[in-house]
Amino acid sequence: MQISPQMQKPASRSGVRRMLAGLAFVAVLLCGEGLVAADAPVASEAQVKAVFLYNFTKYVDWPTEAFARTNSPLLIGVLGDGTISEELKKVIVDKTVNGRKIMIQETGKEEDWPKCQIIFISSAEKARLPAILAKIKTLPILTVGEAGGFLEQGGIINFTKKDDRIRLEIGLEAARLAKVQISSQLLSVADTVKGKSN
Amino acid sequence: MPLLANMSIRRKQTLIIMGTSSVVLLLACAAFSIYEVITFRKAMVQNLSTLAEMVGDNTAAALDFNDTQSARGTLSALHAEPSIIGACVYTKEGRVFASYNRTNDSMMFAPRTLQTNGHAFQGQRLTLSRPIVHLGETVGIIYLESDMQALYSKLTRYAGIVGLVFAASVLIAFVLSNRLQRLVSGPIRQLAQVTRSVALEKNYGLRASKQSNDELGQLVDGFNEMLTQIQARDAALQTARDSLESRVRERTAELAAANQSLVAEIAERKRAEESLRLLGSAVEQAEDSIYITDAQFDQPDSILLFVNPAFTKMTGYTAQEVQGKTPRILYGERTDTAILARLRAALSRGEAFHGELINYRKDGSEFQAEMHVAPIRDAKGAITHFVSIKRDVTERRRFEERLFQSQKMETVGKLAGGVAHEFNSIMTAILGHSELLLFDLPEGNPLRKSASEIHHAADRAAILTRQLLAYGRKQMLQADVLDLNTVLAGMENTLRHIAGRDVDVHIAPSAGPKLVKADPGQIEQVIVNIVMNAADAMPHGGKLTLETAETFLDQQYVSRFADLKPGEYVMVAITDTGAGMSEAVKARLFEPFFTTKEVGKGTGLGLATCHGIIKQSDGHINVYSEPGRGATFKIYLPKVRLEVKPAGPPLKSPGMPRGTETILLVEDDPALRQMAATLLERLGYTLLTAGNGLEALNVTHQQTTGRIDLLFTDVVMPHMSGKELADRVRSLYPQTKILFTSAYTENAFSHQGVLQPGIALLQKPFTPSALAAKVREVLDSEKAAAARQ
Repeated sequence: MQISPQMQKPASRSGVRRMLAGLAFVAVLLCGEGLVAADAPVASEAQVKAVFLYNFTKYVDWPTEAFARTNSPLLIGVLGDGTISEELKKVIVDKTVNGRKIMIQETGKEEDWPKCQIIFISSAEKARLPAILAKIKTLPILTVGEAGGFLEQGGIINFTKKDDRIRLEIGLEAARLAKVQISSQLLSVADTVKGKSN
Repeated sequence: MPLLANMSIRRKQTLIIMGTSSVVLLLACAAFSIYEVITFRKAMVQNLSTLAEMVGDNTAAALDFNDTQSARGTLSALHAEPSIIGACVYTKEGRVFASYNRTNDSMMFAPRTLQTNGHAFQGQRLTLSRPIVHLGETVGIIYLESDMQALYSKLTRYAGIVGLVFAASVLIAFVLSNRLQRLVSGPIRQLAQVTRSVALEKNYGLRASKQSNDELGQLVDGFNEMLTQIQARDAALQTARDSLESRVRERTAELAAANQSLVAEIAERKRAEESLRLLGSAVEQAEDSIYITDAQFDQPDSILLFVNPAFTKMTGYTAQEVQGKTPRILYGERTDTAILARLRAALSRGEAFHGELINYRKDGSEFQAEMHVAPIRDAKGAITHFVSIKRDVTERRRFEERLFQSQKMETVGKLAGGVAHEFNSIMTAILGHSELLLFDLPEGNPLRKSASEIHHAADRAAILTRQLLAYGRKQMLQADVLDLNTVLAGMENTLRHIAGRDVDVHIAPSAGPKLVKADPGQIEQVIVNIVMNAADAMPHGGKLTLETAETFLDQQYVSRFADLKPGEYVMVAITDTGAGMSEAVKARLFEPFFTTKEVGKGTGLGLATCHGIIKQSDGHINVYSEPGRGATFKIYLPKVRLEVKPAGPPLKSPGMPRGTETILLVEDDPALRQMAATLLERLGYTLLTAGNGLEALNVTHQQTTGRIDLLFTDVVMPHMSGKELADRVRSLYPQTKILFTSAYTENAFSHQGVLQPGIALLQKPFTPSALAAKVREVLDSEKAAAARQ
């Protein structure tokens, strides 16, 4: 490979072309270094779940009555897990979906639940799970849980762990009940979808 | 463009059309192809982009929810798209999320480089990356790599089609242009053909046909118009040329005539020049003196204008010296003025003059000039000059004088000889008869005295006659080779006696024999005569010298005398110290009967006889003398180189010898014949006589005795000469002896005037005793005669 074109006085056209191609290749190698991803630090389970929670906003359609106003923010309520809540806060910074801001409903008060569009119920709230679900399962709220039997109890999406990866289970009955529309894309990535009509 | 320059316009046109259409077509095909490639590439990118978006959409959820399984599933759906070689989905952090490899599923497909958004053609591949955006949020990157094979195969197809289209187009263009170019080249070619025909046939009546109204039509019109004009101009030119040619012919004829006359004139002039030159050289080289004078009649004399070199040679005056002079410079004391007067008179009448004049040279010496003077007239006949031609005739005059002199002497000699010849016979008869008379008369008879006187007088007359004959060169010479030194030595005593006691005779012979051929008696007579003359010139004594010498007479010397040949001569010079002679005496010295002596002292025949003898011997005699200075006589005789004949025994014997032989005597003179016959019969001989040759032959034939011992005949006779007669007689009687007698020999014998050596001759006049002695001598010379025969 010719590094110094000046030294190659009788450089043929093809030679020059080859040389330029070589230079371009080197440049691409250098520039592309940053883009070729070395693996990011392994995300924690809480971080993954927080991201998932946010991602759900993109694959789920809520009925208009779920929002007080057209520009009302989308509220995500995290129950029983401060870590996730913290992580979520980082994820949703400056994020919008369908023109709505995404916000966290941090107060776990029962009267604030109906305002939320997504409510994550941590395994810490396992005891109260049926009660919570009973209270909001008819509301246009996407309920997300991380405990076994969450779908059976009326939850819509449940995080499961499989091969150290967070996977999804989706219960379409509960979704229908809550009148939230879950996109097929989301469904396609879910390990289990219950209550499929067809 | 030499290649194009030689091409026909038709080919050029076709070439141009083909070239243009090919280039345009090529450009069009290239543009089309490039456009196609670009379009196809764009479409490919578009397709790939769409595919990427689709796949991206389908993998957004998988990305969002970290479902690589799902993403891989989505990517593997790309299998349906055969051009896709590989695909890869990255997380938004750039980590490979899922990949697809068409050829090998197990191998993870990943590009070397990754762009968030963009595409690149790499070799046979098209790579494309797009961000995966879901709801306005980039969730990852999709990367696709597509095979370009399709593009290339499509392009190959395109190239084929384009090639076909190109070929078809070019073919069509060729066919069309081939047809259509005739519209343009047809008229041009026709025009060119007509032009060529016009050029080749020189037929300006040809016309090109007009086929269109465009510029070509205008060209044809212009060309035809030009031809028309050329034709008109040709016609005009032809007319002009014809008239010019006729004029040229006329002029040429005139010139030829002029030239001919010029040539003739030149030839004439050349001839004239040549004759002038000839004339000039003739005048320049002429031996005669030529001069030209002017013809001014009003002047006393003409002026000399030209003289030739011979003039200078003759007169001593150069051309410069005579300039402005008159011919009078040539005349002097002895010039005959009467002749000059006649000359002037003739010239003034315009007549030529011819005459002789004494002229004078520059040095004063004179010469005799024969002159011709003629007037020179100009074209009008007027006399402008005179030309004089003079020849120095001094020498000629002298020669002529000498010739005249010798002719005079010849005439006188002939006359004297003729007279003497007649006299001779008479004298012989008188002598003979007087002797017979004395013979017969007894002693004491008174008649004896008279007879003796007659005999004595006749003897003197005979001597005189003999001298005259000698002078007249009519005598017979008996020439012998002799030495003049010996002759002189033998004569010494005689000469002293003749010269007398007061004269000192000195003989000075030069060394060696001085041989000449001459009659010794005659030579002696010449010497005696001269010595006698010398003695007479020295009455009071003096000195006489006789010398001999050999000398050579050259042409220049001999030419001054008639009958003298150049060659070697023996000279005898006889010098005296006597009174000498004047010119006048010298001039007549050798004339017969000329004498300065008192009357009765000399006959005047002595020196004349000498002259005659020497002349007859082919010699020459000359005299040098001045008054008071003595004289020198010089005798020249041709030198010979023969043996000297010893002197013969004395011929005379006392008494008259007798004989009994038969003698035939032939003599035309009756008196002489009678005298000789009487004498010989008395001496005992038998005589037969005849008056001429014919008679003699008759007598010979009638002769009965059968012998003739001696023929005694005259040499010169009418009808038959003595010599002829001798030959005839000898043919009958071979033993017959011959004795000739003659006074002269003219026409009788050889040109030399002498008898052949050994032939017996008795010279007239002869005495009876001489006759008797000679007859006996001849008859007795049998042995000698036989030896000579």
